[in-house]
Amino acid sequence: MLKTTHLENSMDNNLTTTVDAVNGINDETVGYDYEFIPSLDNKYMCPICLLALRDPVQTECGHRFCHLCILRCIRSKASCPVDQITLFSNQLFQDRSAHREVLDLKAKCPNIGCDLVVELRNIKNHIAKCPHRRTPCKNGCGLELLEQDLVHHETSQCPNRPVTCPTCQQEYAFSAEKEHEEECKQYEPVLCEHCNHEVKRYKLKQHMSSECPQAPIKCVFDKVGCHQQYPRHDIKTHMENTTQIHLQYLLSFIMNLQKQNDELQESLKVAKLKLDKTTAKENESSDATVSDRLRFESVNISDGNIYSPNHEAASENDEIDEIDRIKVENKRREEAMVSSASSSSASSPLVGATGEPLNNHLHLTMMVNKQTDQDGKIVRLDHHVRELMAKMETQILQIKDIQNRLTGMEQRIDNQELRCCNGLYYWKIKDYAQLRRAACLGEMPVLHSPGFYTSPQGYRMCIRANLDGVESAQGTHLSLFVHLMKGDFDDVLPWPFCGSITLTVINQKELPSQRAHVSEMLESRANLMAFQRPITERNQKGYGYIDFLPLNLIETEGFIKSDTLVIKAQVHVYELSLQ
Amino acid sequence: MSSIAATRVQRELKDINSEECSGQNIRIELMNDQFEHLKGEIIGPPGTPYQGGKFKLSIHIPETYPFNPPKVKFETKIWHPNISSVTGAICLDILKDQWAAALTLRTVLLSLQALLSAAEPDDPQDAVVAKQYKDNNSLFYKTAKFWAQIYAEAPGPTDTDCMDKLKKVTEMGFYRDPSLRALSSNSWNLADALDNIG
Repeated sequence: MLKTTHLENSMDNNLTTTVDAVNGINDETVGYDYEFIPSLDNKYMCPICLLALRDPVQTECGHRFCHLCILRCIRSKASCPVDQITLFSNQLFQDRSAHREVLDLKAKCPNIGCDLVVELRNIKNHIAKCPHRRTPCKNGCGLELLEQDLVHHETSQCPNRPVTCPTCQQEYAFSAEKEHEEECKQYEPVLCEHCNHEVKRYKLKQHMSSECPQAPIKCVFDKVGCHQQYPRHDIKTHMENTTQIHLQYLLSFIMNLQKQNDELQESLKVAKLKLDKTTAKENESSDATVSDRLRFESVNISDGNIYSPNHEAASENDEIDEIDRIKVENKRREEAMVSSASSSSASSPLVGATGEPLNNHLHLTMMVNKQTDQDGKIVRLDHHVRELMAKMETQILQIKDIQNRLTGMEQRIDNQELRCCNGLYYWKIKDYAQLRRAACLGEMPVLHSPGFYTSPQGYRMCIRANLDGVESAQGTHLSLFVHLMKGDFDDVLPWPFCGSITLTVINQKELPSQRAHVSEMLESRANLMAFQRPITERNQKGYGYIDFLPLNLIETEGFIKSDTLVIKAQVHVYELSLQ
Repeated sequence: MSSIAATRVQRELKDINSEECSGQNIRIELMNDQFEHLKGEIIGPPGTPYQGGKFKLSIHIPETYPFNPPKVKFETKIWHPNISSVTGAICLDILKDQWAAALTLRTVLLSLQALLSAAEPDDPQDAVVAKQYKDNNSLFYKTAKFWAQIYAEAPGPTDTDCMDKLKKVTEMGFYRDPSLRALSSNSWNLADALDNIG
């Protein structure tokens, strides 16, 4: 259904060319480009392409054009390009008489060397068989040659002809001979500097390192002190003659190893001793830790100063006080122990043994102390985080509320703008790349602009864009249509809608002088569904162009800036029925 | 560039350089292979201050040619009510809304020649020139002729008064083009010109 609506624009009378052909560009879409004998009469020349009329049509004002030329022409301006009289596509008529006369014209074969002049209707057949026609060289050198010369050229003249290298058997283009030679040098034989034998260049390294009998190599006893080099074939004699010397090298090397070994053994012993000592100490101190800890806790309780994790301000002073207190406590304990030791008439070494664990006690208490302190800090921070989170949640709620109110306000402003734009509406399609992708994948093939009013009390309509085209223009063109929408004043307005709508895709190039906007004007037609009073929110049928602008141009020709496409609609309402 | 525009320009060049048009004192040549940018030249028509001058034009062919007009402007500086004395931009209806696909580069150049013969001061591009044309036509004639001699190699002896004044201003260290424009815009009054030199 859609298709018929769109195509009404260009399908008139019995002219059955589709819109695609009007946009499509190839040799067949303009007149016949041949040299005519006698030269082309002006009455058979299309004033647009200046070539011989192809599918001639005549206008009501009596001018002849190629069918596609004039369709293209009146798309941008609905007037005859010769006398500027208003001209619509339904005022064009096929000129069969001119068509016959043009095909009767005698054209010269365009092939150089062929002097044949044939009727235009036969020239295509002739060119296909013409002995003078040129075929492009298959080596891709760009030349076009006669059939008879082609083989000779391709095999023995063309700079791109393939040549086989006699050295390496590889194929290369004749013109690339120098480059190949450079590459091929690897295959050229060279003389080994040691044995004077011929070796291929790329094998030279391998030859020297493992084959050449003259290449100097190191004695296998190099590592133990025989640093001399001998030619490969002499190395056997060397080994036989110098056995004694090699043995001496070996002996001194072994002696050296033995010495190092002894040294290592010695240092290992020292290390082991040290290790034993420390394990003994650790055992003693761990015994002491348990009792010490118990004591420390009882002291805290007796002081009535239990360290609470929720304690608010654990200042450094507190900590120092605590440490001082423990120091005093430890000293007291030490004294007690010494006295008890002496009273039990124990030997003096025991005193030394108990002294060391006491220092460890002090260290441990400090650690425990610190740990408790940190626990407290963590709890306080945790508390703080909870408070902040609660605060944040309320703020998020507030922000949401504000956002809601803001969108409401924006909507009201937008509505006001849409109502007061007086038929001149700019539609900015943001995130073009993403929307285009969605359109290509078929996720969201069509976009509708907000409904805008032609005047504050006028018609309401919207622009519809298929970013990936629709119907025959799918994947090739941007399609643009206008849809009428239900408005507040439909009851008092005359129907069907009567007016003109200009759709423009705005070019956003940097330099204003380079901005070539693409614009099309369409006139309403009373008989189309698209212009009747809408019975749904938006009229099902629209009117516009399925091939408004080739998609490739949109991205390359500066229609997108900051990922945004801007489409302008300008509506003029003809207020005939009000007068 | 679309092949329609390219073939059409190619075709037009063939016609314009054929013997048929050789008597019309117009010339067009290509600037590159793409038929996008061309150079034109028209000879100042007899009976005008531009007589015998060679006026060079730059011509840009839009992608949509011939359905949209070519973009033409004067490269050679010219003193004319419908042509900007600064930029060379032209005010001519067929280069704007009155363009039709049946018009050609040849017709455009011939129309420009006609414009040199018959200015339209009521639809000006350069308001200063247009005012002079209407208020003091003989001064306009003198100025336009002097410009054509300076910039377009128009034949004939140059006006000594104009030449002296131009020399005076340039000798003060000003460039020639702004000096000549200032003098021309200020009725060749030396003091006024010096006050308004741009």
